[in-house]
Amino acid sequence: MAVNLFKKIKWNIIIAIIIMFLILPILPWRYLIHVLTLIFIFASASTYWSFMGRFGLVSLGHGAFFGLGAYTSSLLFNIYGLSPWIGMFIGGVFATSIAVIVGYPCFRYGVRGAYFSLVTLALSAAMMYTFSAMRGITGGLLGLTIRYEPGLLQFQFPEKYYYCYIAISFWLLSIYIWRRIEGGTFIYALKAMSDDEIFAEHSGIDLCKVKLQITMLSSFFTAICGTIYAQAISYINPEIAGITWSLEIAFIAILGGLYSMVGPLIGSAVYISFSEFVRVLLGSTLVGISHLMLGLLLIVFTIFLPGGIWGSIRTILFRRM
Amino acid sequence: MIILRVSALSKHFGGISAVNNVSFEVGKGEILGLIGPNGSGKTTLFNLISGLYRPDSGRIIFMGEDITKKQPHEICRKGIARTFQLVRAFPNMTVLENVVVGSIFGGGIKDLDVALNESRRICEFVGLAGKEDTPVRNLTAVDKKLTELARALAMKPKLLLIDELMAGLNPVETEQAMALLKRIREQGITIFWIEHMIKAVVGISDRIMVMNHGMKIAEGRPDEVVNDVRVIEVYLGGRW
Repeated sequence: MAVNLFKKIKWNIIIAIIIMFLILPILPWRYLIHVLTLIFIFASASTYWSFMGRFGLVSLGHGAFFGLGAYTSSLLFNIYGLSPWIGMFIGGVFATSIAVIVGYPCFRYGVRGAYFSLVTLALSAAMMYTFSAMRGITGGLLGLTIRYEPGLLQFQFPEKYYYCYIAISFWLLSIYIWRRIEGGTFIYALKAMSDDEIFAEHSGIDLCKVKLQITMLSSFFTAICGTIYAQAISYINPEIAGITWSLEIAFIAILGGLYSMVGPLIGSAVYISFSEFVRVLLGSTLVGISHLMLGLLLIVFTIFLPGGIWGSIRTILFRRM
Repeated sequence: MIILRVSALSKHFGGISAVNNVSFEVGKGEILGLIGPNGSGKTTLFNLISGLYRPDSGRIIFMGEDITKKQPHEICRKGIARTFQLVRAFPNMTVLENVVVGSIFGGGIKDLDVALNESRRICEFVGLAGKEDTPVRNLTAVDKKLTELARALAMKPKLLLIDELMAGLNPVETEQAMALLKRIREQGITIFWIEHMIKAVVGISDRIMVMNHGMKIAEGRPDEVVNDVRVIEVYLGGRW
């Protein structure tokens, strides 16, 4: 019974998305479309983050991958005129390489838990400073504006809602990939790994390989989120590779619910709407108040609602988990 | 035929020599018991064989291949499965999922459906039928042990290392566990096991090895070993 209800809700979501697709172009408020795009970009990034996060690999460095994706594709486009459609894969490969370079020593020599998080935190700080320091090509802290050359090939569109389509599709892709993982044998290695590492090793699981695989997958797609963001906003600065950004990606997943598919989307919707609301309400006075509030929320959530918003609703509705 | 050959194996922790120059052989198809007082190095010996610890010196040859410096997951895939003294299992997974993990990654079954069927069969074999879908954290201590054992069997081991199966079992369960070990052996799996319950070890082992202070002090047929003066001294103290 509960399971049927659960399935029905998923169908509702799919129908809601189809309606959203149809309704977007006729929406009169371009700002709303902009916010929706942001929501889905962050929802995707957080979903990819949760591929690692829900198995105990708490990365606080996903901003680095996001930024690397955004900068790679944008710089390739601005300097060489390479289409971001190709650039995003190059950015993905870059991010994956960095993930392997940082991840492999961690996984091989057993850097776990909070220590792993600290290493990733350092990665995103390092990446942010790198982008700021390479002023000659990245424009430093002033940021980088992506050349405007509308056209499908350039990944640039005259209307905002095209980006929203892409963001939604990309979020759906993240869900699809998750479903594929869940239905295969790889999920058993991941679950075993997060339950008991030593026992997993003694069950024939190559921990280092499993961790690298999931990290590569997660970082590759997070970098692509970065490219989509860069194209949609057409301006990036080193902050998107920084610690704040990394924490936001992690926070959104925790807020919405780490252990469910739609959790990151709900977290993203709440987070982005909230921070936009605060930004519009307070303007340039009290800069940073939204982060303060979100910090407090994070503490409240980890203590009282560890399953996140959606996780808790689901527990109440279906008495499962 | 020798399946496992351990020669001059040593492991020190600081100044303590946990395993000191131990050599022995395990024959294919036999049940070899390992006894000795607490802290005599039995579990350390298992940890060395399964790859959890690296030995300071000595060699471990399994089926003619040197596995001394191999990692645990590699050793598993070569055909050595083990259980732990303090029962380990994946607490947030169900019994069946625990066994499936062994079946896929240790047993090398690539197809999930095949692995699931195989795992159900093994659950039934060890006596966990009907509990396949229970999360392991809700199981009794005995069922946890059986789950751990089932997972080890799913890895299709040639050699099974069992660290204290009988501890905490009542007499009926002990009998069942002994019968289970015999049935495992009938499947052609060699068993090397640590056990404190002397009656059980003597009852079903072909040979017994005794350790004290990290050294092997005796080895032989069960009736020889239990009458060995050195063994009696270790268990009952000198001048008994």
